[in-house]
Amino acid sequence: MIRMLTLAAGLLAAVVLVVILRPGTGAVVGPGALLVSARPAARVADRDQFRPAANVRPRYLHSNYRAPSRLVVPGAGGTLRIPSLGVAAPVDVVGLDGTTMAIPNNPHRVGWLKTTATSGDLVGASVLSGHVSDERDVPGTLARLGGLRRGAAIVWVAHGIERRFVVTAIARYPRSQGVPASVFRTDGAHVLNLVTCADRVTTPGGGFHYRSNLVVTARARPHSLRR
Amino acid sequence: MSPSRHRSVLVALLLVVTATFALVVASPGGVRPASAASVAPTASCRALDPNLVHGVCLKYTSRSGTGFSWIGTLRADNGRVFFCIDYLYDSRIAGNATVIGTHGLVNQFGSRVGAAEVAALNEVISTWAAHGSTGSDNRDAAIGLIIREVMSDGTRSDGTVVYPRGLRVGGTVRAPVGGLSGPVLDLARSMWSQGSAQRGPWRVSLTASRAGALPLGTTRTYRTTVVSSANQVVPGARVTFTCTGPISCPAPLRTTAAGSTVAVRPAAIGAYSIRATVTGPAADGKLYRVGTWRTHGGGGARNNGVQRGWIAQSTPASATVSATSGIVKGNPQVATRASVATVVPGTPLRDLVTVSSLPAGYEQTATATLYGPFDAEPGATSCTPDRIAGRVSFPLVANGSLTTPAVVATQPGYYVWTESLPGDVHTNPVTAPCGLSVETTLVRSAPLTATTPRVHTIASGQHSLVGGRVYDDVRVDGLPSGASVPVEWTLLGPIAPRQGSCAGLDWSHAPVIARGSLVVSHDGTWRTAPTVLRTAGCVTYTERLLASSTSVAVSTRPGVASETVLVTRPVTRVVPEIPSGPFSDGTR
Repeated sequence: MIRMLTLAAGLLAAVVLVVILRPGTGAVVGPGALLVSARPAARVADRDQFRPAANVRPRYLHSNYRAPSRLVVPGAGGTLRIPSLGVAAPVDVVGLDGTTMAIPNNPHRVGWLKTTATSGDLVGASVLSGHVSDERDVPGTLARLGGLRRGAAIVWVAHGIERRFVVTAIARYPRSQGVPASVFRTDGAHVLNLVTCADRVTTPGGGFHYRSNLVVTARARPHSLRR
Repeated sequence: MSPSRHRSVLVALLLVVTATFALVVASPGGVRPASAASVAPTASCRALDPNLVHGVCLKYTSRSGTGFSWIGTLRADNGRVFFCIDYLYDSRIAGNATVIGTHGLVNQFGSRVGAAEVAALNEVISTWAAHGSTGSDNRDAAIGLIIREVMSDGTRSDGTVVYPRGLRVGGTVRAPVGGLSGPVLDLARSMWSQGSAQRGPWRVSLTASRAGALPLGTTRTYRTTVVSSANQVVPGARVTFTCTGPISCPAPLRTTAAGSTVAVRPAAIGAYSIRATVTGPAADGKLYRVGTWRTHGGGGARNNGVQRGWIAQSTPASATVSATSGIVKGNPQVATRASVATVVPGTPLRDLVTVSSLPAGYEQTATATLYGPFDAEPGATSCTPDRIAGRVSFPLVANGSLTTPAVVATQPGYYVWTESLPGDVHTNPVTAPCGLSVETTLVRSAPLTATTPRVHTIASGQHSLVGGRVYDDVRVDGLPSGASVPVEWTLLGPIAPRQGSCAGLDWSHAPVIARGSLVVSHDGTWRTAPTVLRTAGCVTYTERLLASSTSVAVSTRPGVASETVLVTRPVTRVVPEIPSGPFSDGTR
């Protein structure tokens, strides 16, 4: 019996080591979170002050989210264009609804989270998000976001300033775990993180929901500010 | 003295006092008093005239019996509200009455009512009953009481003086026969006091702060005052302005007791006029009166005459005053000061320039010329072309202060700056005079004891949040004793970090967030004024310790690690959920 327990403990330790020491694969869900804790302590400490400390337990996996109007300022965030997708959407300024990012209820609008970098900032990440579809699953403005390719252009015009971005990464994360803290980082070069939902799941009763967040990361082009 | 004698004396004394009191109160030959008036129910007066609006019904007893008197407003058949002005006349307005002015008003005896009193009465009615009744029994009664005493016809034919006569401007409204309780008397006195002081017509004046043509780039103020016919300043009067010509016309204002000022700013060369208008009570009011109304020349009021009614309305009059002037090219004012009084050779010299009275839209390149070296302090004629040591130019688009680019003075001697601002279609050219002592700098060879101070600086932190404040601590060592050296500091940024770091960045084109200066007089640590950070990015400080006669200039480079601050936005505590996908359970 003791030998069996010892063998089981050894197997478990081996599995953990394999998982922890697996080479990083970029924007990968699941074990990728463990890779962060494997980094040198000093670097983690430096980065921690520029990233949220923890993810929250999701509340809207199996229910619809409706943003209260007090958290949405329509059109105050300018406009967002993705020429390769033929997308042009007004940007609302949105706030935090507790620990939830308020998403404009209209799927044809996009919300910029006002606690993140503005379009003209030189540092940190701007987070914008919009519904992938409405409650009848009629596609919204960002429904085709998954078809975007690296190198595609995104243009954000706000307060008379045009900022151009180039897509550098596209990744999916289970909504049950949330997006990585780096999506909300406040340091580093200015990037735009455009988020919607993906991976539609149909239930036997005819229902549906989306189980992933799709995150498109685009880096601000140097000298892209135009008035 | 016996008790009976004592009693007799007391009785006699009482009789004397009583007789004296009776003589005083009812002196033979005087106006016969009536018993005290009292406020009766309005219904008592309405039984005599159903057209009452607001006011007070007075009941009094005269020698010929009990009388009722209405002080207040009545309504004519056409709906207009008015005040009766003829005592004891039928209070109804005849249907054929016409509206006339009160100019030359007489009472029913033919006695002339003073023009000042008529004007004060119109002020009271225009102010308080501008659109009919005041809506208050007491206020309408107060106006009615004033009218009675101004008209001076409140004496009955039996000699009973119901309303005192002869109220003049500045006088005091008195109570009707026997007194009057309640607030009506106080209201009447207050109204009459104001009416006397602010009676119309008003006059308005405009007094310019300066005579002559108005140069572009400057403003001219006008003091406007409204004065009543009593020569009293009227506060609270609304004055409106109309203007011609290329100026900004002032908005309407309400006058104050101290007078009010408005400013006009010219926008182009030409001429302008400004006209102030005030509307106040006229000298006369409006009356209903039938053409057959006549005075009767008696000594007491008569019953059943044909009533005249002072219409309860505002009867205004306007007054205007105008001022005109020409607008000429602007003459900018230039105040200058050399950046330092004494330096060693090789020190960059700058000029500190403050420009004012520059017309809007000015956009020219100004020139600063450094003349020297001179053996002695230069004078007004020293600035000749052969003595030009250097010339710099700088854009000038608005009033304010700036520092010119530098010219390096290499030779010992005196140097002096002059400034030249070119003219344009709206502006005359300006050249500052030569030889001003504040513009003069002495460059003299460095003494053998000249020192190079050491400057070490450290920002308040290497990381700050947007909305936070930063400052710089400047540590100075090796400053000569007795020196007093300016330190100019500049906060540059924000610029983007490279690979997440503010190290090794090129700051040569970084914008300036803030700048300032301080004077250090001894070794130690000196702190700059704090600056609020508005944008995320990298920012850095740079300092320049100016040269003095005993020390050389020292500068710090921008981008030094201890001087550089990464500015970020505050981070959210947790990663927010992003609920960007709808949910349906299939029941809809």
